[in-house]
Amino acid sequence: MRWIQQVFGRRAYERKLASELTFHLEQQIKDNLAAGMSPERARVEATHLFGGLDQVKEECRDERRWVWLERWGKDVSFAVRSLRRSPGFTSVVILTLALGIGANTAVFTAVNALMLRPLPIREPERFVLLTAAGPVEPNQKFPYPLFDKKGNNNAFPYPFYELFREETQTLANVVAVGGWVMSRSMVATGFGGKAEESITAEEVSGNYFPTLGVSTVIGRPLDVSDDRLGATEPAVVISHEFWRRRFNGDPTVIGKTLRLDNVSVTIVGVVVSGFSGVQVGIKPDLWFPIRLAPLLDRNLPWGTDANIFETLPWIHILGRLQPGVSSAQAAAELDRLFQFKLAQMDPRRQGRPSEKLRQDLATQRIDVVPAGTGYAGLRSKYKEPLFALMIIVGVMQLVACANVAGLLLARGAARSQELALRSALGARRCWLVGQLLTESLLLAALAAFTGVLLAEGSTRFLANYVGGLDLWADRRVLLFAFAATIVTAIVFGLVPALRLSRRELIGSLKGQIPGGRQRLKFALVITQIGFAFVLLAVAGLFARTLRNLSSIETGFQDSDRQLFDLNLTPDIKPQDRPSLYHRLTAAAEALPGVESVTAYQGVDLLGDTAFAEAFSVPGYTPAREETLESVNVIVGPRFFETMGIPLVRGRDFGLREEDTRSHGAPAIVISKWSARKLFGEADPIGRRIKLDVEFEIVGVAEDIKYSSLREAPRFVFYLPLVQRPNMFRTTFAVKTTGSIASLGTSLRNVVAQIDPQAHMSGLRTIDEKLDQALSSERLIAHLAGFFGLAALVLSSMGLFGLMSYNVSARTQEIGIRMALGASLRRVLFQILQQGFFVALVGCVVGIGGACAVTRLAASLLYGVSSIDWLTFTAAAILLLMVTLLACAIPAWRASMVNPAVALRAE
Amino acid sequence: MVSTMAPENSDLLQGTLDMLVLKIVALGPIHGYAIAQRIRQISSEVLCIQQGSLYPALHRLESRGWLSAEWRKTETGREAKYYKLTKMGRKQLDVEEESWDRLSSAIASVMRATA
Repeated sequence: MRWIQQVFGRRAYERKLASELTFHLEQQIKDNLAAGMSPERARVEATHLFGGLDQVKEECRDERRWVWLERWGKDVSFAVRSLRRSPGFTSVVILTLALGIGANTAVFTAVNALMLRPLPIREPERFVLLTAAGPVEPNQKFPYPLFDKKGNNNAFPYPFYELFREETQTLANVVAVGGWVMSRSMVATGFGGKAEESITAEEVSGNYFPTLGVSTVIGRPLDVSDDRLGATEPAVVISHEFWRRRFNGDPTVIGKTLRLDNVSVTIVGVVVSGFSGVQVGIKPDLWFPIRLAPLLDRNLPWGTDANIFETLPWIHILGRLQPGVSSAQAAAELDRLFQFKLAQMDPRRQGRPSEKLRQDLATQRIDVVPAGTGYAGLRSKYKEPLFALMIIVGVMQLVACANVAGLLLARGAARSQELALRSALGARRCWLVGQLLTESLLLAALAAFTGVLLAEGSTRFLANYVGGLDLWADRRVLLFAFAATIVTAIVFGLVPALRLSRRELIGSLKGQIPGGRQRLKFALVITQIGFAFVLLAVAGLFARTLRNLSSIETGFQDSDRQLFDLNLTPDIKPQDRPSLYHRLTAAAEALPGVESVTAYQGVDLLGDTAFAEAFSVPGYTPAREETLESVNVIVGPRFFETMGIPLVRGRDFGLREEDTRSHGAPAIVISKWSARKLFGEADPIGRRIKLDVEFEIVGVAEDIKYSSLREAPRFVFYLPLVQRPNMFRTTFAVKTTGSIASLGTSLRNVVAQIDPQAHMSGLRTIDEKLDQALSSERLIAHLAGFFGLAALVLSSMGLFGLMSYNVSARTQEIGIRMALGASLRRVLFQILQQGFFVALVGCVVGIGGACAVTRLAASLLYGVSSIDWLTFTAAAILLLMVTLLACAIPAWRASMVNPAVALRAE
Repeated sequence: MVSTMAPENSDLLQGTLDMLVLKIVALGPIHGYAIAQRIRQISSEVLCIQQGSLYPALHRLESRGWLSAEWRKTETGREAKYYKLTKMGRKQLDVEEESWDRLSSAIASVMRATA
């Protein structure tokens, strides 16, 4: 404690040192004057006699430091010796704490990667992202949906990028990044490759790399000259990781060509390692100039219209603030430019936007948010789950601390003679505290070392969960582990150290056991039980959430269904695709064990993608706040049968093309909820719905969960593939009888026969998709469960220790009482009662804590309230039962007390 | 009254200085300047230490817990740092006195024998 004081009290020390030495000099001068010297001479003589003032000061400081080090060294070596004397105690403590420190460090590693780590770019602190925010009707359509469902967005049409880049005075540089990073198909033609591979490619403006200050290890980065329309052999750069993984770090990749979605491109550089773009969690393998995007996407629905590049909001705009400019100033300037441009773009030219939309757009505001740690990407998806995990591991660490504090107190009781001896020899209280804390620090440090090793393993476990993040321990993580260690040591060590060093408790060398410590021990056990309760309650809530979510009817069958994706080469014209799908389907259906096969487009079931399209229904007027928008699944024959979605009315589209029409209009199947919403109890069959053209309803299908298990019912329509064969990525669903081992290979053969150019990928079962959809909830439930049980074990061990101690301390009393006629049952009952009371208080405390904690996680729960008394009661019963069990042995031991022996021990 | 010291004189053994300081402080609370004067008086100006070097010794002894210090007013009303012997300091002084006695008598007997 004294050395702590000395470290922190440096300024006071300096002041006192100076005035002490000045006092000496002044005193000497006074004496010299008294001896008859001239003032000048008196001063010179005094200074001379004293020696160099600064040198003396430095020597004083040195002495202090040296003694400090010496004492600390002694404390450490003493602590090492005393821990080595009790290896059992030491290893239990280290393991207990290591579990907590390891888990905390692992979770923090993920939090760091997701939220805190600055991008490896120049001046990340001034790097900003432009967002548009405003009170606008959600889900408005093209051409200006500059907003997402929450009324804000960060995607702009391309011309806004050019506008900001040219006109801004507040941003030093403005760069554009494609907002929809997609997997694209690549053929390594320059390396003699033939097969298609899926890679992640990101569009960036030409000034992206120069602005970020990201260079290349070989070759050159993209620059402005690469980013223009009509480049004959467009340039691309690849990521360091991709270079190592795919090309084994081959230095001759520069100048080699690739075919990217049917466009031939040339690799001009390999980006430095550690840089993986600016969107958190998205790791591009390759970057290409943004102006190339229309060329690559010419086969996609939006790629066919050159105008779309200009009007579709898909560009993220980022920039670097000019020195001395605040975000607010930049936002104000950019907003002026934005409003000017909006006024210029005449919405009437686009046909659709109403006057209302125009007004809404005028209320849109540009905002500028910091992007030095990257933006968007995985952040929103994992922020809350990781926050919940952080709480869980934090609470776990508190349980561990309380447990270890209890152990230290118990150990301290055994050491009170040693402490009393040291105190009698003149050790001050603060020295004893310092020494006890040093021991705690040493324990925590050993635990941290073990914990960081554990963290290594558990980080890999977390990495499976948060796929796209680079989880490695940087300076910040190590600092966190260090801080966690210190805080841990103080939390578990300070209270026992202060308590044990109290003079009146040390008092005697006679070995009498001081009584006042009991209350603190009870408090520690209660704390442990309370926190254990919190963890068990959280585990219970997430287990119930998981069960609720798993029992949700998705609307489709999930067993014995395999999915795979098929990318066709653009050579095959849209009108020829349905027949190719048909041939493929027929060939796959002929495979043994395959019952039926279907193709569908425009949806990745439970995959978070939702392209909504506006529609209208003749005779239906939407309510004021209602937007008529549907998600459309474009399906081939036998879709409903293959996916196991029952048709509640009407018919399927049928196999022949004429079956996909009805009364001259293309046929449509709508979901049950849509039917009830649009037509009430009336028969929807034969009614019309207008999308781009009019469709006639031929059937009603059972509702399905479309993009997530938690979603509310929405308009879902099914359109026949032959009517809209426009996507070039199609998903095939295969219904099998049981699992078939070699299905993948057989399917690949079938695809190769039908179209050798086609690229098949992503073979998966629907089960796996469901599994993924629940990964956050499952992870939290499992971790909370694991730590809940660990906390349960720790706290019952704590209670067991406390009760055992109590019984042994009261052996005589129990003996006397039994001699006086107390029955065995009564003694037993009394001990159990005491334990039960402690556990009960712990539960009550825990309920309070749980109410506070679970509310924070409320948005992650499903079908269960954050204060769910059923879960809480179950957790309490479990805790009480286990803790009673922990009291049983001490109680039994008390009942075995032989009065004669106990009394003779006096 | 003022003496100029030869450098070799100031090279007093650290342990010896510590012991002297402890001994002087043992007589009662005292501030640094007075300690310096006392050393000179007691040793009849034979032991001349550079006055400044007294302070590292004082701070060392204080850090070790052998001396405790408090600020209080001198007779003339100035604030000064007064040193006092602690329980541990007392014990340390006993130890050092004992070993000094042994050492000096050993040296004395050696010197007598050769003389």
